Amino acid sequence: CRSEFETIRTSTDPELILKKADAYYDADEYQRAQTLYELVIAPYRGRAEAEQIAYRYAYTYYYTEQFVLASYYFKNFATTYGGSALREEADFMSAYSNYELSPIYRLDQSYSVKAIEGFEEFANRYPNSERVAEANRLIDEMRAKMELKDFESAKLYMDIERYESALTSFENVLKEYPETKRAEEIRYLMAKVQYEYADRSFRLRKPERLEATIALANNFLARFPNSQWQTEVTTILSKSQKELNDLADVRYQSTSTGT
Amino acid sequence: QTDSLELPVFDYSEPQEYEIGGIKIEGAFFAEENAIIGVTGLSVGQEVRIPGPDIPRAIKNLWRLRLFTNVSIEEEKTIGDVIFLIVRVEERPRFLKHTFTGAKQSRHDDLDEEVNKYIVRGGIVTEDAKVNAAEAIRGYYIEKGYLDATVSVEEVQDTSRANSVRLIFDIDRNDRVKIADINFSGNTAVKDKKLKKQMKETNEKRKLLKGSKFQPTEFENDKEAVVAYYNTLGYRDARVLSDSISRNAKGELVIDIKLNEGNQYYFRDISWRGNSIYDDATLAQVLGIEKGDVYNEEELQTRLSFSQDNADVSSLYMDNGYLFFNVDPIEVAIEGDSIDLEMRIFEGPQATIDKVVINGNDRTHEHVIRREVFTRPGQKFSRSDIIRSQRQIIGLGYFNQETLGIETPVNPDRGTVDIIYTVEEKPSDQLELSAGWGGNRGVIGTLGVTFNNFSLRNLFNREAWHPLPQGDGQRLSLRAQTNGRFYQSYNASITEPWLGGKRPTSLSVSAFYNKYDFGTSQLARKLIIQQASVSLGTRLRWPDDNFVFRTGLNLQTLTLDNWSELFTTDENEVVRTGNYNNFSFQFSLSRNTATDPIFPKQGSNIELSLQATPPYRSLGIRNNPENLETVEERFRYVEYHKWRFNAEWYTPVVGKLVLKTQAKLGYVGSYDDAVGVSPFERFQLGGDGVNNQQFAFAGVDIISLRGYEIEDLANNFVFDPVTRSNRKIATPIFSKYTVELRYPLSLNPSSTIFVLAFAQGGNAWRTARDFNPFDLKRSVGLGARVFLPMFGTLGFDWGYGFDKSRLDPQTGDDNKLSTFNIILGFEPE
Repeated sequence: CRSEFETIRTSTDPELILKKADAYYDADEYQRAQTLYELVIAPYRGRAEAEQIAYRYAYTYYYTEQFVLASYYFKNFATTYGGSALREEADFMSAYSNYELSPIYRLDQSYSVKAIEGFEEFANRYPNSERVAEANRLIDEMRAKMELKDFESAKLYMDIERYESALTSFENVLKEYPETKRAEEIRYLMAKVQYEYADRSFRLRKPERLEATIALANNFLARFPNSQWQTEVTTILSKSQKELNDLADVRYQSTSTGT
Repeated sequence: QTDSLELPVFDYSEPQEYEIGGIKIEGAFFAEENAIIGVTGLSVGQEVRIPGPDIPRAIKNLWRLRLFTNVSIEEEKTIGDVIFLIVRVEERPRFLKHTFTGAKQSRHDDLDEEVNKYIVRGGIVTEDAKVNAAEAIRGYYIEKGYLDATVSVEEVQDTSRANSVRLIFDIDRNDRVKIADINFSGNTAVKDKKLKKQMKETNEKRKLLKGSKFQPTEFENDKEAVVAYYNTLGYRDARVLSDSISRNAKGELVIDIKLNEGNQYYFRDISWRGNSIYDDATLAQVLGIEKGDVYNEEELQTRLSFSQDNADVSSLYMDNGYLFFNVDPIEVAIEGDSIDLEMRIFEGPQATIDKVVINGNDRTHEHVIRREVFTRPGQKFSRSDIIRSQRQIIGLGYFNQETLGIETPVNPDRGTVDIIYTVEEKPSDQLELSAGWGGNRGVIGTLGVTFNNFSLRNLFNREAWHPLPQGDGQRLSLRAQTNGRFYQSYNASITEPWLGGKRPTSLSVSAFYNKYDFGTSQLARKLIIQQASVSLGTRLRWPDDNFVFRTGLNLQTLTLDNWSELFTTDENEVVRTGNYNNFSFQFSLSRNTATDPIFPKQGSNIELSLQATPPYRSLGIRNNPENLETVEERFRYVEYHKWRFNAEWYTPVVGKLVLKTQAKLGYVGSYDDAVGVSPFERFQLGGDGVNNQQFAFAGVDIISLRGYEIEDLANNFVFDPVTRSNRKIATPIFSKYTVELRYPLSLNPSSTIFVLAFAQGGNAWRTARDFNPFDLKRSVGLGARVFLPMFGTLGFDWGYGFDKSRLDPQTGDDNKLSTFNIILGFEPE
């Protein structure tokens, strides 16, 4: 004896299947609705009901948290039913499904990139939509996450004393995220890392690295005169200048005794 | 009004804005008009530009439905700037499903794939599509060697649904056509036999163990292989002039291949141009091709760019940042059989790494991977750093080795390169759930889990539980084993691979509790061991950064109550009762380059370790002579120094065959002769190393010796005159040497399978005076292993021991000379 669902699933009457699919959908039983909608897509192709079926079919994936497929079917709906009143919603949901997949900053951000692209496309296509504000908010949220990821990897290089790598990575964060709120902290850390780098360098390499430190420190002090790191950077600056002077004196002495 | 005789062509010279006044559909029978209009995206009242993007898009959308064989949108009439459109479609029956006759069920999936290239369910069927699908099926069979396969297709109206058809593919594959002969002509320098050997897939039917079938694509590859073989011998002009395929009287294939060998050429002078970093002599030495060598294009390319050991000319530059390096061998003169080469070198600028990107980690946190990667931003590009990073990433054990991707997109303007590692996570957790028969001790149940990629910090973060907090690369292992009354064992350990700080310093904390109770209400017989330990490991920078130094502290207590197994001193005193404290420090130095944990192909793992207790008596702490009176008193605070040396090398032999060479040595010594060698922390060599594993928790190192049972080694037991039977003891010294040939059958990370053949020798000794590294118990044998990520290693070994007494020492019966061991869950030592 088969369950009611099985009886419907194996029936050959598309109308009955669609009716039950809608009933399951309205009752929030999306897994079952999905199975049934799948069966009626082919027979209803080219008929008036097809639009509604495709729309709800995409939502069944969304509600069952199969976001990869949800994004795909929303996009599919939007391209198939270009004139539909539901198209805007589908375009938004396609990007939003990718947003749902965007993980914590420690993991791969491919879905964040996809979601951002989707939301940007949405905002361009429907500049007057009331959903644009939401799209922009979500873009900011994901960019902040990606920025944090890059910032943390620069800090990792700093912690394991890979000074060059840390400096390159910090610089890349500033370049890639001009809107960053961490500019002050990053520029402070760069001055600090550059100083440590110079401090642990061979004498031959010291002068150029100290000069780089001085440049970074001056830049920081000019930009952020009231910073909480102001005293620390001032110390770095004066220490670098002193060391550079000492090195210059040594060089002068050795050349003078040589001649 | 348009003239009905003229084609309704839009004038493309002047785009114009129209308002749609109406849309008419023609030619639709089963599709609904409104639905078609909906799909076009056009609607009445809409503004459209004609010509413009809207009409083509509408046509494209209609095509995408795959319902029509023809689609067009025409202008019916225009009134001012209002346009009326006609959408003309031609509908055909829809394709419902297809079936095969004459094909094995097992082939249906493959055939479906072929058919689906041309026909889509719910779409329309055209004659063209049917023929293409049938031809694709035939092509599939021809590729499998069924040259005479025939396929016909029949279209049937399907009664279950209106306007739909079903396709029946009728397949007659006929017999596979074998190859009777392969004949070469025009070859004088190389024998037919040698040439046939180059053809890997196209074989004559009389060749043993190789199927003889004709596969068109493989045949083309095999012809190229023949030419490539000639090229390696200096015949650089060799080519296949023609080939013909005919049938003999029996219907078998006869392949005739006509060759032109051409002349054999030799290298003459090789000169270098454009090199400024390295001089000619250095480059010539790395190239390693001498004047007079046979001209071998393949060898030349290998020496220039693709050497396995990275000792080629490109590596010289690539490892030093010259990413844009390029070398082009130009033949500047060909005189007779001699070729002069000029190596034109483009050195380019040194590339600096800008970004290091890690993609695909959807479980493992990025810092866990990034800290292992040797290519770092701001450094010069280096190919060997990339290869090393690849090894490190795989060594983590979280990612699929076969799919690890590395890309190096360059930015020539800035002279920088990004390095993108794409990983694919694989399951790395292990679950152990078993109930096994433990001989006279009844059923032993085990429940164990090992999470190799745990995240302790997310333990209280509910959102990170899917299904467990993971991604920080920590290892958490929990294991409980019991058979109820007799035996209970609980283990827990956690390892953090990188505590933070500059260098990888790992911290492990572990604890276990083991209880054995075989006593009765009259007679106690019980052993309880509890241990807690902490250890730190650091990767060293000197002598090289493959070295790891580990140091640890173990606090162990043993409680014995009339226990009589294994713990025996060299003076044959049995330690039976009392509480013993085993507090030791541990130091180990290891070098690990065979990083693949399951099937290492090359590299070595070498470890020297020392475990030592404080020398209580020498320090004057337990100096009281009373302490030496009874064995219990002497070892109340156990003192010993225990040394272990393990070394294993993996060497690729030929193809996928790998040679494993291994040596293991162990020694437990005493600080003070008056105290003697500790009865604890000894070794037991012999057997399969699996069934007696419970003693590993009882302060004895269990070492397997394939081909020998524990009782087969004379030093493993003493004859007890009271009970008139043998009593097993553990020994303070052992050594074991193994050579093993391993061949992988599957390197798929979800089920790694390999077979092995081994020769082994080992022995155990009771005193350092008896130790003789050449007095070994030898054995040879065969085995197989399957590694399943969830269950660990499974497998068996069959071993034959030469150096056994022919008669069983206990029963006097004929002794079995071979043993058969089953490996369950882990590889024994």
